[in-house]
Amino acid sequence: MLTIAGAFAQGDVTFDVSAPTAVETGTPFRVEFVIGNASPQQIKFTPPAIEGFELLAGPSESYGADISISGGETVRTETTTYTFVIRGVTPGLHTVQATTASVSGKVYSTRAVTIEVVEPPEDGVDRAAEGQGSGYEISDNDVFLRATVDRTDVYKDEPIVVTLKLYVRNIQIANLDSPKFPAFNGFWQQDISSGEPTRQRETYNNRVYETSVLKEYLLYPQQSGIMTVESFEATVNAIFQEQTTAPRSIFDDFIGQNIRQVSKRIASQPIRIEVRDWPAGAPASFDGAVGEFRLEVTPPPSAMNANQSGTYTLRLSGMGNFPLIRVPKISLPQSFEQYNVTTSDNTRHSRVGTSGYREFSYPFIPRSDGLYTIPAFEFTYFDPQQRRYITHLSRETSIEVAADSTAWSGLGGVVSGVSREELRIFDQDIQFIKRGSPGLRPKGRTFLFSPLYTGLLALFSVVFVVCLLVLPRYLRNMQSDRFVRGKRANKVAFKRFRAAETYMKRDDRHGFYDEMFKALWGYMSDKFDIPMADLTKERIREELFVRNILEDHSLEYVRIISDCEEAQYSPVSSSRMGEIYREGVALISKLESALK
Amino acid sequence: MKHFTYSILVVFILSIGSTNMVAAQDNARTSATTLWDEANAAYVANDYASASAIYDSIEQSGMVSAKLYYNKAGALFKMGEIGESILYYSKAQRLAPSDADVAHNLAIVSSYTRNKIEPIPDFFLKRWMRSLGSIMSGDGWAWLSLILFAGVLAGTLLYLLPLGHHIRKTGLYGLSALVLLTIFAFSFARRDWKETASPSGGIVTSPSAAVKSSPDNSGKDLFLLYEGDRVQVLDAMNGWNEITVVNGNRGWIRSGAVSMID
Repeated sequence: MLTIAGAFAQGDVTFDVSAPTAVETGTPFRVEFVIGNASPQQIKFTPPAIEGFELLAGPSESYGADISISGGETVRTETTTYTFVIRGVTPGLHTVQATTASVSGKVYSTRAVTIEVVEPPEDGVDRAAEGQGSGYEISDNDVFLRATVDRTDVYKDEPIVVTLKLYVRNIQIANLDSPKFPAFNGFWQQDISSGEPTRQRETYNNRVYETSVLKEYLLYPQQSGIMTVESFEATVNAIFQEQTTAPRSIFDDFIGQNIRQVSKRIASQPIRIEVRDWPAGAPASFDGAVGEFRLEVTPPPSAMNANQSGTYTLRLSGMGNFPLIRVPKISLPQSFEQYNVTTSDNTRHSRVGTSGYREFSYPFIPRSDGLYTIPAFEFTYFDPQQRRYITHLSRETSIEVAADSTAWSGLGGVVSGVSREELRIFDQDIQFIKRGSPGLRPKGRTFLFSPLYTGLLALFSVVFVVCLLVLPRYLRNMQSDRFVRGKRANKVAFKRFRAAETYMKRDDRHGFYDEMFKALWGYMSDKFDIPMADLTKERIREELFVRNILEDHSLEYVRIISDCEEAQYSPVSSSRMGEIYREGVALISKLESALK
Repeated sequence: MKHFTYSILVVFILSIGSTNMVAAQDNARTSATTLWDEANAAYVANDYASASAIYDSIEQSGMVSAKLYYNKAGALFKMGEIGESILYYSKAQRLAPSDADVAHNLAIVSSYTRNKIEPIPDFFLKRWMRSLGSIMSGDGWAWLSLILFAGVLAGTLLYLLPLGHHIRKTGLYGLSALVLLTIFAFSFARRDWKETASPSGGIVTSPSAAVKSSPDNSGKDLFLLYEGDRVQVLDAMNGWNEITVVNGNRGWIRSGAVSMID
């Protein structure tokens, strides 16, 4: 029954009217006017004009009183009810006009009540007349399940309310069994049913039903396209009064066998919902928030100490798909050690969607001092009403982190046990671009086989060839010079010996030894192509040794030279001159043959 | 001596011939340098699209460098053009094979490709040769080969001089080593020259491309390559390229799907 609140009187006097919202023609029903907290003696009730209905009975007056004690206070409740029994005659909307009642001289009034009168379809009439006699069946028209949605064309993540209702007419329902609720595939669902089923009278296909809301869901579609809310199934158990023509025995009534229970499986029709995807051109910061949001940012204090914890807080409030909002990414400076984001919710699901707020806290600890900037946070949501994206931008915050005064209390630069960390790689990125001179060169050109390359190659080759041509001639000259001298060394030596001999005959000691030196040194110089200035006794011994000359010969040579040096300035023997001369000649002859 | 003066003359004439070209290039170079600075400024300002466009205009003028390719590849990567970015890093690597930044970035950008192609391990000598060849650019090898060649000539001349017996003997070994090195350097330079004249390395730049068994649409699909995959082009025919992938697979791909590393 729909209860419409009437005018409230001063004090506790109430005046209400209650009437069904829908009736079938020919079916009697009651309209009640209830006056509360007034004794019947004080009430002067004016019956309303009831038009379009046939008045069957009334007004009949009834009175009830109730005394209750609560909290040491006695409360007396009195109600006076005026009941009319009426019946609809013609289909359509009919109104029970507003009426008034005066209580102790004060006038109260109710509002007019509109009642829909419908003509029951033919089959319904037939069924009412004879259906119950033919069997205990449940007609599809008498009991059915119906799912309704508040809209069928929505954007992704825009809320839809699905209501599952049971419609009953003409029969008595004991209970509903083994219900199978829709799976809501592709939807995020939230049950928003109020605890107890709400009963109501409703017309559907020109019939009046008692309806009760079984379930109510708030759905957020997660995919775009045509989606379906599947059917809701349940088994209904109806109770029929057994009607027998046979006389009832006393036991029948006693045991109560004249009640029959009939079951039937019923299902609601599936519902198609068209889900549109969000329009193109979403900003980069859009991450699936749909509705209407406000952004509130609580930045950490602008001055902090290193190693002291801080929190950056984002709060999204408003109305929208709160349960589906992901933790937004914020970019804190890399040297801030970050911890798990905590999310706190305070949201309420209702028929209009989800409202409240969701708060994200980003705890962090700055590990080193310096001036840091937390860039502005950008939050974008899609507003399905305005059909556009809306972006909120927080302000950029800067934090000055002071050095941790407790960390470096070491004495005079002595630091004990610094804990070192691995270099942490947060992310990989390409190296920055190269600056400075671009060093551009024509494309597709290589140095190899370029004119410069071939030119240089030719130059080198030419130089080489020229050298090759010039060098042998030069070498030949040089070599032949040396060869000749070597060949002639013997001859030259003997020429000198002959000169020495003449000096010996003249007994010219100075001249003799001079020529002897020239002969002996000169021979070696010519033979081995060593400049005179570089000749030493050791050098000669080496050269002879390399050429595999007997050790005796080289020793003898050195001895003769020494003898000459010795005898040159000694006043004694002229006889030694002859000896040295013979030895020298003999040695050179021997060397000459050995060196051949 | 006559030969000598003549060759000097030849070099001189060659250099005069190229001065006109050099002057023209100088003009292009100065304008390119201002463009270069503009593009870098755009990159720094995170305006990658215009940075890339300016780098492109420098490239269009026919002047290139490893740095240019490198920076353009960076801009392309920031724009999300993975395939193009890999192409330009590969171009940069051809000009500067020993550049660590190029190798680093190429590795990072390559990790964004869809296919993970495991290369067949090469014979170790081949691998050594490849890493030896990437010590220097092709031009570097060309210069080295020239210097080594001069060394060989000088060594030969020295060898002809009548020096001590064992000096000559060790000199001969040295000379043979020098000749070998010259051949190496020259072959590396020549390989680069050949690759410049007719590039064989390519990068897949279309989002995905089927590799077929024969150069027409009716061929069987053998495998799929994605943007950024590197291929070696073996042959070309009627708008199709025969390619191999580092894992040894072979097939025909539409030539439009592959950009050459030139």
